[in-house]
Amino acid sequence: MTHGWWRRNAAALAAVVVLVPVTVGVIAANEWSDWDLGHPTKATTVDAGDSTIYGGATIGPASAEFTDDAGIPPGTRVVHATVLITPADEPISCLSPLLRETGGAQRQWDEASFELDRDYDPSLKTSCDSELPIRYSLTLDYLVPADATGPFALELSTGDALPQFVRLVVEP
Amino acid sequence: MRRWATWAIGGALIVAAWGVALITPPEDAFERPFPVTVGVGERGEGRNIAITVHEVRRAEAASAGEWTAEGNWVIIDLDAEAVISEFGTLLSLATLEVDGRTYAASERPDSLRRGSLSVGIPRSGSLAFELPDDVDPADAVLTLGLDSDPRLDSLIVVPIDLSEIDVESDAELQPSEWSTR
Repeated sequence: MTHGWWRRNAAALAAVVVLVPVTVGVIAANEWSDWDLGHPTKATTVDAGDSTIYGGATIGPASAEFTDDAGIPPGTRVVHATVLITPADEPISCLSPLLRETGGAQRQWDEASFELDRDYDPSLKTSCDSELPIRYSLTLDYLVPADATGPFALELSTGDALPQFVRLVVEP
Repeated sequence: MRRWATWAIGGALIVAAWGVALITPPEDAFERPFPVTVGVGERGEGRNIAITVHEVRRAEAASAGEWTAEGNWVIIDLDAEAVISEFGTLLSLATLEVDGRTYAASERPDSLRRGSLSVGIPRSGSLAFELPDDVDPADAVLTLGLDSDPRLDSLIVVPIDLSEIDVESDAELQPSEWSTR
């Protein structure tokens, strides 16, 4: 008797088996794509010394070193980093990249020229210049605690290319 | 089914229903904050905020630089830092609960209120709470967090007995700067 029931309802059961996962998948994909729209979620990792094409520009290579700096709080040091930006046809715009520890809790730091009371120098850029069509470099300073030893990654994104972003590995 | 078995099963189901009702979380449980309760002098660390309250003072007048004002002041000296991210890490929630009333940190003096926090690098400074003149506070609860909406994020909670603290005539807020402790 039970055998007969399964056989009679085979088509409906097959539909359930197919439709339930498809429903879950469609809803999940829809929600995640909404989340992805405004957030940098898909990383392109670039090894130290390499570069990549992103948002119509060549990003990298990037380098970084620890520097001593007068006037920084005890137990801290500065990660001084540079990133080469080579726009192709159009200039690229971006905010200052953030510095992320690639190990441990993946802590992240914002660019700290302002906190470090750097004198304003228009030739030193901390974010992409949306009007500059030629090659230039970003000069970035991050204030990190002494227990942040790296390796680090500089995370750079531009609005047009989200959710893709670039993760430039640097090892000071 | 035997009659006694029906009654036994019915009784068991009622007891089970009572147990379920007893252990059901309240309606706001899914959006409650995650409090981390510490004492004065202890470091409290949450998801992205770490606080150490060093001292609690009371005074009839508070001052910060050029600014000064009389009142029923409670001054909190503290160190504050972020833990994993510097995205939007301002000390936006700073309240003192006294006798069932909640007071926000005063915006009048320069203080750590809405101060920006760095990851792993503590900033030191003060928060000032101005209470009504007729309030003689005893038990108080200091609550600190990153978002003025406290739901679903860590809060650092510090119970304080204000009746044990002598009232000074004047107390100066500590300048907000990198901590040297």
